[in-house]
Amino acid sequence: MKSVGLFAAMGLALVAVGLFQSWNVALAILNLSLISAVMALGVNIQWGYAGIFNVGIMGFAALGGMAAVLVAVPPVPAAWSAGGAGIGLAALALAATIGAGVLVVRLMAPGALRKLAMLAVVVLGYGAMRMAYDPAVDAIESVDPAATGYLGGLGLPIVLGWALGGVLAAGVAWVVGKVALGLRSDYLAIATLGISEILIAVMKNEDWLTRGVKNVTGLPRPVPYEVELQRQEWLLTRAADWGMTPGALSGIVVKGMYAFLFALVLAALWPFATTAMRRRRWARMSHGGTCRCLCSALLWWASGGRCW
Amino acid sequence: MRAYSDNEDLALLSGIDPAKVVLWTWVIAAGLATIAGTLYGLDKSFKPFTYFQLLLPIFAAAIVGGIGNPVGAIAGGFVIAFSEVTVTYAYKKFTGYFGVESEGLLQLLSTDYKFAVSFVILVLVLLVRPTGLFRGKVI
Repeated sequence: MKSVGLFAAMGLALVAVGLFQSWNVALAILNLSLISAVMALGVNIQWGYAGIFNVGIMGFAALGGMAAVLVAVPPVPAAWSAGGAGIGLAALALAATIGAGVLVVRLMAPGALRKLAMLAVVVLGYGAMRMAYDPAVDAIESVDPAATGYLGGLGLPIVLGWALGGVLAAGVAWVVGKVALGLRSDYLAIATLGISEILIAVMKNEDWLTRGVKNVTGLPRPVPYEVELQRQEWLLTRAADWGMTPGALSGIVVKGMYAFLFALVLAALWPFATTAMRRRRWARMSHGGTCRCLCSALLWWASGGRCW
Repeated sequence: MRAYSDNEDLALLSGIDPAKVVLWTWVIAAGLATIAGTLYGLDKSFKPFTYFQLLLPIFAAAIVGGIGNPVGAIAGGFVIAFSEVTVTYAYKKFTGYFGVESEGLLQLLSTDYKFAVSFVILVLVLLVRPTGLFRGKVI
C-alpha cells in the first residue's frame, strides 16, 4: 500500500511537471527514471541479493554504449583495407601468446625455469603483437580522421546492439569474476572500480575501435527522428487541432515511443528480478559468476536504448 | 588508535575517548594526503582531474606494502611508482645507445594507461600475497 502511494505521488509529480512546465520535460524525466530503474535492478540483484559490492557498474554501462556503436554504425571499408589485416594479426599474436602461456603452465614443472619460460613467452608475444598492432592502428587512424579514422561497426539495426552488448558484458563479467574471485568486500570494491576505469580508459584511447574522445555521432535510432515526423500530414493537423507547435508534438511522440520501449524492457526484466529473489539461489552464491553475467546483461539493457 | 581498532569496548574501559581517536585519525590522514597533494602539484601541476591519476595508485601502494605497516606503505609507494614509470617509459633514446634506431617512442604501454599498471600490480598482490610485501593486516 505504501509503495502504491509513493508511485502515485511520483505520477502526480510527473503530471504536475507536464502541466506547469512541459510534457516534453515530463517524458524526459520519465525516460530517465525507467533507465535508472533498470540499472538499479541490476545493482539490487548483485549487491542486495548476492552481497557483492560492484563499484564498476559504469564500466558495464559504457560497454553497452560501445556495443550499440559497434552494431549500428556502418563499417569503414577504407579503414578495414588499411589496417584490418594488421589488427587481425595482432589478435592472432595475442591469442598465440595466451595459448603458449597456458601451455607453459600446464607442461612445465613449477620452478625457476618455468618462470623464465613464462617471461620469455610474455616478452616475445607482446613484442610480436606490438609489431603488427602499431602500424595497423596508425594506418586506420589516418583514414579520413575528421570523419572516421576507425574501423566502424557492423551496420546492423541498433536494436540488435542489445544482444552484442549482453555478450560483451557477459564476457567481461566472466573475466572480472575470474580476477576478483575470492577478494573480500573492500578489496572487491577497489578491484571492480579499477576494472571499470580500465574499460573506460580503453574506450577513450583506442581510437581505431571507438574513435575515442572524438565521439561517434549520428547513430541510427529505433524510433523516427523528430524532423521526419514534422513532415507528416497527420502530425501537423493534430498539432494545429491541439494548439501545439509541431516541434513540441513530435518531441512528445518520440519520447513517448522511447518510454514505451523502456517500459517494455523493464516489464520483461521484472519477473526475472523477482524470481531471482524468491528462489534465494542468488543469496547463497556469495561469489558466483552467473550472477555477475546476469547483472551485467541487465545493465547493458539499461544503457542500450540510451540515444535520445 | 590501534587499541581502539582492535577492541572498542576494552579501549573505552581504559579511558580512551573514541571521538577524539577518530577525530585525530582523520586529521592525520587528511594532513598527510594534503601534504602529498601539494608536493605532487609542485612536482607536476595543479589540475582538478589529477585525482584520477592518483586514485588507484594510492590504494595499490597501501595494499602492496601491507595495510597497517608504515614501512610497507613507503615501500609500496616506491614499487608502484617505479613500475608505472618503467612500463610507460619511452625507450627510444635507451635503445639508440645500442645502435637500434626507432621511429616510435618504444613505450611498452601508452602513458594513458599508467594507472592501469598499479591496478594490475594490486590485483596480483591480492591474489598471490593478500597481506602485502611487509605482512600487514588483511581487512
